[in-house]
Amino acid sequence: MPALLEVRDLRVEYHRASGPVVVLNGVGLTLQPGESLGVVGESGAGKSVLARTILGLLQPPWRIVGGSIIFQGQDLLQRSERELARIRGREIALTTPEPRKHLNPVRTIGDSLADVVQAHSRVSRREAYARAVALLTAVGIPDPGLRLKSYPHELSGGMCQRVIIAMGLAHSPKLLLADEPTAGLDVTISRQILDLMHELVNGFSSSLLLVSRDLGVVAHYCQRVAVMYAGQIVEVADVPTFFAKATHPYSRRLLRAAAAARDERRGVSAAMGERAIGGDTECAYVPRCPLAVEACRQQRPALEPLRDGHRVRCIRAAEIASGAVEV
Amino acid sequence: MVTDLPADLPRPGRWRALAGGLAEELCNLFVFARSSPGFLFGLVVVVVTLFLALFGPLVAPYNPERALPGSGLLPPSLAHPMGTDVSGIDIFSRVISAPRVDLTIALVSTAIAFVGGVVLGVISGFFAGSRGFWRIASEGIMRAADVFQAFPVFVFALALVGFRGPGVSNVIIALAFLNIPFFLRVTRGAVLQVRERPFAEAARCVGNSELRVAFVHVMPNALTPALANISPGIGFSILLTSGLSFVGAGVPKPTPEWGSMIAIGAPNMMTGQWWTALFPGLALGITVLGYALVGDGLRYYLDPTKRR
Amino acid sequence: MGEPLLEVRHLVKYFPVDRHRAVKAVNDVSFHIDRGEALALVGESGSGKTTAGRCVLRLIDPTSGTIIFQGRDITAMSQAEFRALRPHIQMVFQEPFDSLNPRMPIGAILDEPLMLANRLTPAQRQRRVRELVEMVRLGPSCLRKYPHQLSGGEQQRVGIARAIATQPDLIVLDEPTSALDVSVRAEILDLLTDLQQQLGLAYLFISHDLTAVRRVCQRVAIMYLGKIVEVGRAEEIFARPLHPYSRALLSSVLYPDPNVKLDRFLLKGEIPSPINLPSGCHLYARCPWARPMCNQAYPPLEELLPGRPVACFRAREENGLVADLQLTPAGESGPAARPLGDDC
Repeated sequence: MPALLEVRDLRVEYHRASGPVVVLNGVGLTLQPGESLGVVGESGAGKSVLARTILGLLQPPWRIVGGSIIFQGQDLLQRSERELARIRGREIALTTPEPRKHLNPVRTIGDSLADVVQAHSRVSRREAYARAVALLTAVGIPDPGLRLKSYPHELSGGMCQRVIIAMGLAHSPKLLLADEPTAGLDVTISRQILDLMHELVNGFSSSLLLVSRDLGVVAHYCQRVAVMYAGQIVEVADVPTFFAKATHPYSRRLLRAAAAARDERRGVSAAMGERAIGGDTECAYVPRCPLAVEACRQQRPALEPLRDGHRVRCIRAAEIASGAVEV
Repeated sequence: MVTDLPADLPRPGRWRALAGGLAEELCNLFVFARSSPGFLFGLVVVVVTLFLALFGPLVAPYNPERALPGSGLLPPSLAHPMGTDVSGIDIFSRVISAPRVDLTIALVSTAIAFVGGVVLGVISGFFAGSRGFWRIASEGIMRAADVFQAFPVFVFALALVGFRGPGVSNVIIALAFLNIPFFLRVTRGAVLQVRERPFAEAARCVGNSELRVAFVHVMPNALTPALANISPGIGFSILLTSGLSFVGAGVPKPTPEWGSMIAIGAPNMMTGQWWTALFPGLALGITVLGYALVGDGLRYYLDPTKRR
Repeated sequence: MGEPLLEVRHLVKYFPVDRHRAVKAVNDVSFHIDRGEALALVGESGSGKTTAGRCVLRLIDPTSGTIIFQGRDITAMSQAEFRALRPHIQMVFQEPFDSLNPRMPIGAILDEPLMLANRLTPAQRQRRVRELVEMVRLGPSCLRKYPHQLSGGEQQRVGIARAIATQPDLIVLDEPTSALDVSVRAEILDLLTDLQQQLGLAYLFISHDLTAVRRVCQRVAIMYLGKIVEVGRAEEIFARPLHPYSRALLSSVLYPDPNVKLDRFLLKGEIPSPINLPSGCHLYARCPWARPMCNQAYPPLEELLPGRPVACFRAREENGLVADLQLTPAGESGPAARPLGDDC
């Protein structure tokens, strides 16, 4: 079955007066139809940039300097802006960590939703409003007819996020990019939003790319997980394998820190600290890796398969997996 | 400030330690200037104009105020590098004597407006919405600012001349009053935002009195808009001075001043004597640009987050 | 033991929206903290926990109620009088960077509370500043740096160092780890626990993050829409939450372990606005246990188990707690519905 989305060796830079800064340094991942993939990493790893690059939302000083994004067999980076505009919102949708900021404050929810409906289908305005009501109901907003006339500032954060999800799913996209969908939301609301997204994505058989800093979210709402560090994917596995047998030293650190944060046990330091991205001369994790050896400094390791469906970017992966070394 | 250096820090260079903190800052400033050509240019302009303000009339080859009959409207030549104006006065001498007047007016009035505007802006912004005396002070300041801004500056300046007779100090007072509300408002806007930030609350928490929070913590972080407007303020002041001189409310006639030189020389451009207005105009333009660049550079330099 | 370090009685804070309506941020809240004890105020947005914390620090003035600190009524004091007490109550803020003056170097930031308290000579202050930096596990080289040159975790350590500078008895911590990355949170929480033991500090720990609360605090008070709905020792509440809201909070925590089954005890709908509060139980519209009686009156805090006040009419039944009819030695009937007036 051909993959729905295949990112190959994607490189993105940010241009500053003092020179370009590498943000994505050869990112590659695949997503099958109907699959949910979680992308985790700390802030600054480039996860949000990845989501936005897939949709072609980058403007200068951000620049794509290499790689390809194959969606349904076509390279999105080769498409024109017009073609991308047709894909956005219809085939691929995006949710953002700050939902209220992404709603036009001077238009009602109904107007914004109707705009989205009309952007990709030839319906009358009245029909568009009717569909908007249906969408609001689908995302669990009470009194949807009344809500059509509300403005974004009258809605809570959770409700704004539901509206964004409604806008995203208006045309049953094949792929939903959820960028930190629960950022800034209260805990009880977060669970509701995640359950809602899960239900809707399954209902439409869409794929989900969930970007998060929270391993807990990924553990329960994703089938596979990809770990990003310094602009690269360093490990990919399905969720049960990852949480039981994560191999890359950084993945292990993330897992320990996440476990420590919720346990009463003493914490383990897993701070990322300063790091410069770029350069293919050595493994990016060398400065912080307890297992770094001379060979790690010779060249950047490739993302090698360790076992079925599990790939790790570390030359010592086999040793770690077999338990020969302690991480 | 912790002045005692922990033992593990490298010691500063010998001559820096001798010269003290101020020299270190100046040195940092020059290092910064080297990296920014615009700032460097502006710095040169500032230094040159300050020099001319101090020494201009002394180094001028001709007396900038004494007319030489028979020498009217001579084109630029070796004797008169910038030609002469309609009264026969050497334009070059006038151009380099003008900074003393223009700069004095611009700098003094802007300085007064800045200090007054910022202080009043901090008070009116910080205590806006509070209770008691300070609230009244805050509101009062804003109403007074409204009045001053609504008042036409030319009328005000003319009234001053009527009361006090013509002179440079009238221009300074008029311009200061015109510009205070402007600095006040931009500072107040910044203060309204900065006072909501957690570090202002933290300052209160560690025991600062309200006034200390306002002036020690909030004000330094709210100065950027005001600072950014100093250089345009200076430029604007020079331009306004010329306007005021033109209507007789500014600098008295023979005193060299770029704006009035342009005003006097402009009709001559129609008849082909381009040098009478061009050179003072160039001088004015370069000066205003230079001050603007210095203002920009200083603003960048003073922001600790951007500098490093 | 003696009297508690901090006693909050019937604290109320309303923020008027217009002439007729107000946001009832804190709506009759009472609690106490003993010396050296860490109490958590847990809740989501609109719970009033942040407002309550700021009232304790007199950063906001309460609408009514009493706050007693070290035996003195601080609500009756003027700001000037209270300033003398500030060295004893300090705060750690949620935003690590924004809580530090960006134009002040770290050394100056840490020196300021000492200078304002005016009890040490400059030389002593310098020594104390270096001591503080060590206590929060930062090197002395940071003293000359500016806040933006430090990482989020380091910035928060500076915030903590500033808070302990004057040797306070009580520190109010407002979501101290929410803005930090997960990996850094554990370190900061450990630091806070260590400092509490070393220095005998009392904490008022405000947070929505139950896992953070569990590491640091001995007792927990759960708040919803301006009222306290449940109180208890941390491990007891985690093991067995009695109030439906507590239970929903706990079940919303997503453990980073796919094998942990998710509790499906969830609330419906949104958190209502604190302006238009219903007359009955505030959770009525969202609660899976709701019955019509819940909407008639607001449930009082009742001790359903020893030391566990809970504000819910249905909690006893839903949790399978039967009134214990055993007679206590004094001859009264046992822990049946003993309505709690003030303290918890």
